[in-house]
Amino acid sequence: MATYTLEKDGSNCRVTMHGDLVASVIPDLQAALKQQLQPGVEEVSFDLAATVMLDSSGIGLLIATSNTMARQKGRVRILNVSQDILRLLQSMRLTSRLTVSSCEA
Amino acid sequence: MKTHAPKHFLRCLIPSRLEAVDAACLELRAFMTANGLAADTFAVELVSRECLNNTVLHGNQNQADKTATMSLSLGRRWLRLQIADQGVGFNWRQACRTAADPTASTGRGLAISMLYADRVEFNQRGNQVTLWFDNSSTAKRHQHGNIHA
Repeated sequence: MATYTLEKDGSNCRVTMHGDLVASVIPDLQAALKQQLQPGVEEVSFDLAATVMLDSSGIGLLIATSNTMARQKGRVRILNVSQDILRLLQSMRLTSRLTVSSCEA
Repeated sequence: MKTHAPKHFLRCLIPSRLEAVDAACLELRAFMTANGLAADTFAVELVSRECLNNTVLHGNQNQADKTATMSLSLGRRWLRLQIADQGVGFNWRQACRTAADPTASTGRGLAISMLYADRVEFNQRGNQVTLWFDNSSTAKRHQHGNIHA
């Protein structure tokens, strides 16, 4: 099974993770995203409902995507994060840079 | 990957591939659950991943003939994690003093390890790190650890 699903619908791009967002999946996902993040894309969302672990490589991908979208005047949303991942992003002071909603939201 | 897992000790010999890090972390999850420490799994696995990713990408530089070792031992109060690679090491003293740029897409691994572990200790060369987790207090995961040579 693929580790993620990437869908583009007009100006929105949605990445649904089927497992962890960690170093081993980043090169493939990064290449796929690079192809999709053309001018005209206004929002990228990452659905992490099935994600237990997010490491610094995964955080790096989220920040890089956020930087790209900021240049395009678009935005990135991180959806359905677990409490562990939410605390990690808060501890790293990244919730002010990324729009994050937890599973309970 | 060769694994030896007595009840309170886990040791993995890991080839220099990121997929092997994932496999080792599955072993770690099973070890934590088997020892009644499921609540601490996220913190210990996260730090293990950060250190193992560094051994593969930086220490062993993706060289297939090199390996890393991960040892996890559980005491009454402390959980001790040790990770070593076959690389030349790095200047951990300088790295520990460098704050991560919030806009950068890299450079957070060491900061995360220091954030989640209660104590972090490198060997002089910088190709082995030992980390301690106080397994009596999950809340301590969010305090900064101390660095010792």
